[in-house]
Order: sequence, then C-alpha cells, then structure tokens
Amino acid sequence: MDIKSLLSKKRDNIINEAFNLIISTYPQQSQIFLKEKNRKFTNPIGYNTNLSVEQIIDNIVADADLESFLSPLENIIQIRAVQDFTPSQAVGFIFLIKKAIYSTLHKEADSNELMELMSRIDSLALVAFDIFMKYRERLYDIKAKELMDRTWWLLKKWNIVTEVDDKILENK
Amino acid sequence: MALPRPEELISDVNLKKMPSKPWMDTLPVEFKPGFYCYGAKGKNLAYVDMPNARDFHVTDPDWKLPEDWKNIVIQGIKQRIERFRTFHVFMDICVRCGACADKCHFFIGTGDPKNMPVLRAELLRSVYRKYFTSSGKIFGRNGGARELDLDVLKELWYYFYQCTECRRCSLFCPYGIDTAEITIMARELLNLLGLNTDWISGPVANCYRTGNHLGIEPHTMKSTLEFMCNDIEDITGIRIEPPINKKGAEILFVTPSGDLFADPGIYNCMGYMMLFHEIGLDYTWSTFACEGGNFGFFTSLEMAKRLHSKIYEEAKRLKVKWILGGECGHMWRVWHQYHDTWFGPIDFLEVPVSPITGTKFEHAKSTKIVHISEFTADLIRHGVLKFDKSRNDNLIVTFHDSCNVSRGMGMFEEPRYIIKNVCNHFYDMPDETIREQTFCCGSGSGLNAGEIMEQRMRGGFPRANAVRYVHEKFGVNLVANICAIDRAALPPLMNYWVPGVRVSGVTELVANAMIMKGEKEREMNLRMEPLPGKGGE
Repeated sequence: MDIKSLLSKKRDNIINEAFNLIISTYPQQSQIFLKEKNRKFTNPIGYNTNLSVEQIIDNIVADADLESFLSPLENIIQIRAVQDFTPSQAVGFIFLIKKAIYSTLHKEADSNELMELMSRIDSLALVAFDIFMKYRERLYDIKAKELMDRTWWLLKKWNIVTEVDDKILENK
Repeated sequence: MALPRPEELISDVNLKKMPSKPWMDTLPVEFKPGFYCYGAKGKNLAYVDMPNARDFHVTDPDWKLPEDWKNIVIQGIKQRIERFRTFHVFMDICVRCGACADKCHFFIGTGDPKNMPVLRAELLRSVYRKYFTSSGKIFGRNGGARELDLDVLKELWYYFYQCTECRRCSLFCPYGIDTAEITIMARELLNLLGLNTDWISGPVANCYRTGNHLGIEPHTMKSTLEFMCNDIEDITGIRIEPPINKKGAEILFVTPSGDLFADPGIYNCMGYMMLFHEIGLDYTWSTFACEGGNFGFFTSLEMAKRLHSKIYEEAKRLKVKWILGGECGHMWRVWHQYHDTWFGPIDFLEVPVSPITGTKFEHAKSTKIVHISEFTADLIRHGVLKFDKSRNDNLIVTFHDSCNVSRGMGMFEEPRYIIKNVCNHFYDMPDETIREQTFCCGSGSGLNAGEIMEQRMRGGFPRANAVRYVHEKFGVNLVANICAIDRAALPPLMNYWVPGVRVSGVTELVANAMIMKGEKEREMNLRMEPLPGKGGE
C-alpha cells in the first residue's frame, strides 16, 4: 500500500495520537480536562487543538499546498504563544505530529516514502516559527497600543501634540 | 553526547517543569515576565497607611518582610475566621468534588492545575488546616496541611493575583462556596505584609488623594468634560454645559474614571452627557466622588469602605435625592453586596424615582442607587427617547456580560433590551458563555496591568473564543459591555484573538442613535467617524 493510502486509512489513529501527544505538553493534572475535545466553548484549548490537528492531518493526506496549513497552524500557535511555553515548546508540536505519523506508519510504509514525507513536514516547523513570531509581535504591538490609547487622547486634548486637521486639508 | 530528539526537547522539558508529583511538591513558583504583576511601591502603601510600606520587587529573593511575618499571617487568618463566618465555613466544607475545577477562565486558558478554583483555594486551606484544625495539626501533610514558609507565601501571592474574583466557579459549587471571597481574604492577608501589586496600590493611593484611580484633579476633570462637550457640539450642533458639584441637584451621577480618560470609555462619557441633556435631567457630576470603581476592594474590606465613603459623603453634602451609577463592574458589586453592611440603610436619600417617567426603582429602596442601564431601559420602555437605529447599521453587535453586574447583581436583560432598541444587528454569544455563566474578560480585580499581557490574553481566551464564533458566524464587529475594565481590557484581547472586533459601552450606542431635539444632521458618530451612508460603510 502506498503512503497516501496508508495515511488515509490510519487518519483517525494519527489524529488521536498527535492530539494526545500535544496535550501531554500540558501539566498532567489538567490533561483529562483538556482532552475533552468536543467542548467548543468551555474547553477552547482542547477543541481548537483537536480541530487544527484534524485539519493538518487531512491536509497532509490530501497533499495540500503550504498555504492551506497556515490557518490550523495559526490556530494552535496563537494559543501556545501566550502560554507557559518556551518558543521551542510552543512550536515544537510539529515534531509530535511527525512522531504520531511515524509511529503509526513506520511498520507498513515504504521507508523512502516515509522519509520523504517526514522531511516535508519539517517545513511546517519553519513556518510555525514565523507564525509564533507574528503573534509575539502582535502582543508587543498591543502593549504599545494600550499605552497610546490611555494617553494619546489626553495629549491631544491638552494641545501637547497636534495633528493635521482634516478641515485644513479640505481648504488647501 | 547525542543531541536530543525534538519531541524529547518538547515534552521532557515540560514534564520536568510540570511533573505528576503532588501539588505541594511543586514549589518554588517561578516568576517569569508576563506572568506576574509588578510589586507595590512603598509610597503608595504609606499614603494609605498600609503595613510594611516599602518598594517590593517580585523577583528579588528578599521580599523585605517583617520579622514576625508568619505570625502576622496566622493571626490574620484567626481574626478573619472569627470575623467572617463565610470564610470559616468555606475553609472547612469543600469536599473537593471538582465541580468548579474546569470553570475558571484562567484554568481553561492556561491548563495550570493551580488555577483550578479548588486547588487555588487549597493553597490557603492547607495553611489553615495546619494551624487551625486538629486533623491538620496531628496528621500534617496526610491531613492536607502544610507549614507556612516563604515559598508557600510566594505561591499564595502568585496565584491569588491570578484570580479575577469573577465568581464563575461559585456558580457551580454545590455547597455555594464563593471562591472569590477566599481570594479576597487571601489578598487581605498578603496586604498585612505589604504584598500588593503596583497596579492596585497605585490607584488606591490616587483614589484616596484625588477621589479617582487615575489621579485626575478637579480642574482637570472639569476641563475634560468640557472638551468632550466641544466634540459633542461638533457632532450634534448642541452645546452642553456639564453640571459639576451642583448643590441641590436631584441626582448625583458617579461613573468610573476610565470613562473620563481612556478610549473607548470617553465616548460612553459623551453619551451620558448627551442622554442627560436630552431628557433635561437635574443631575450633577462631582469632582470629589469622581470614581465609581473601587480598587480598595482588591486590597481589604476596610480600604474598600474607606474609598467608597466619598460617594456617600458627597451625596449628603450636595443634598441630592438619589444616585445614578454609570457603566462599571465592581462598583456595583461593592454597592450591592457591601454598601448596606457598611453604611446602610441610608436615611438621608430618597427611594429613586425617575423624574422623567415616574418609575419608582423599588429594588434600589435600600442602596438608593440606580444603574444607568436600568434607568435608560426604563426611558426607552416609556417611549421617551427617539432613535435613528440606522446610524448604528455599520455595527453588528454582541454583548459581553460583565461578571460583577451579571453574576454580582443579576442584571442580564436591561443592556440587551437597550442595544436591541438602538441597533438593528444584535447576536448573543453561545448560552454557556453569557449571562450568569459569562466568561471574565481576564483582567478584572486589578489584573489589567500591561506587564501581564500574556496572562490577560490566555485568561481572556474563553471569552475571545466565544466572540470569535459570533464574529465568524454572524460577522459581529463590536462587543458592547457595561464595565470600564471591560472597555480597557477587551480591545487588546480582541486585537490578539479576533482582530476586526471593536469595543464600546452601551450608552455610546444609545447616544449615536438618539435623535436629539435641535440637533443638526449628523454626519459622524461619537468617535468622529462617518456614519453609514455619510461616507461610512
């Protein structure tokens, strides 16, 4: 059986394995709760992580282009970028997805095909780093903007700073 | 030495950090940037006579505690279990059923087990057991008890400043344990040692000095209101003169100072003035009672009472008949749950009656204060106000129930009623995330500090996740709310999780849609953006 058929056949096993591995990066006492993946609004970590893993695996099965991986990757990394993780831990779940695929397929798959697939998945780790940085930068932008929102209005009202007035532009 | 496999690097590090060993063995707490608020400044503690006033840096090993600090805490617990029957009962009756465990937004957003309300409370209960129960004294650790030492104290500080006192967990407790009250007591105990945060103690000192958290002095408050009136005149053509410190006014209006200075609260503040002008209300602002919020409430009950008293005193001095309160969160918790114990029943005010509709607000018979949403909903119900809802047609609105107003005083329908009367597009978030089950913004009870942005983002994740759902399903682009902390906390939360969703108070929406007598044709909303059909979308 070629690797594509194997991936399709074992899809559910891979998703379960990958989801469980990713949840295992959280504290053990919380894992039972976080694994309740159907609670969309009362367990958003578990729900979104599972949903995104499903999408990532389905994209791998469908041999989809890199673009289609961005949304599910963002969904997970946006969460992990503000949690108690180092940057490598925040994006390293890609290797847990690899591990899940490898451990499920390595006995049956052709080793060359499997190596090729593993190597392609590595590219997700590079993209994951870009996404992680995007959200960390967004966080720092938010910090700066919060300060602006709290003070800018005041500076303007007290004429400490002034901006170009729209009316002046209209009359120019 | 061989390199580790990537998965080893990821999971081993975490397993080492968050092991499966018992929670008592996971000390000391590691203070990382983004996870803890800065410590209080000595001058702010000294100004309001708080004990052990000195600058305090969380990451310093030495917290400069008094020599007998342990005894101070133990005596503090003793005083409080004698004084507050609830606290005593809450320390004893928890059976650790776990019903509260997965209800806290901080636990849901972090996965940190010590953010489970039951375990957070257990941090303090274990100390209580050691010094106040026979089983704890005899069986020690086997009886769930532990010694109070410096690491335990730091852990208490870390986790009790990771609770927003929102009380969602209490809703699910079969014994009715109010975990927020445990946090309140724990923070009181920490304050006995001068262990407050900068973001709470600064506003407390300011509030004691100037009457408001931001330290706005009377002349500045007056100018600010006048500046807003200039903008109102530009938008509507109507000149409003805000009444300030007007003796003999019928109503004293009190709102959080965030509405006076911070975007988007300022638009709400303009909205209040427009509404009162339109109905010809005989009211007054006060430069003394110029803060509805009360950060004293996050310090100690005595401090809360001390700061709250200004509203009470000012109502007496100005000889008003009753008090109208703006859109604030914990202000309402303080009024509804503590005011009467401190000062009530008030004998110099009258039961509030709307001078416009004649409605007698019977539910406020004791406190003599009416919420602006109750007041506005009553005006709308009586057809007093005229609206052009299409001015808000660019807005697809959802409503975030603020914890203190929804769970604290049971107000669910009034703000929704108002929004539906002034906006054409309104969609509620899913049931398990609104009304009494509402998720906190993640920044309440003094946790809106810039230095804990990561903590705020993950604490607010359950709320943002529900907003994201209505944003994707219905195109919601505005979260309305009736709390100044929400107006400050939700914009960054939305910018992180659901960019494109803005935040406003409810009164801002009212004032946008309200057709005022003698107004010019409106081209702009209160934010001076073009209205729909007038160049706006």
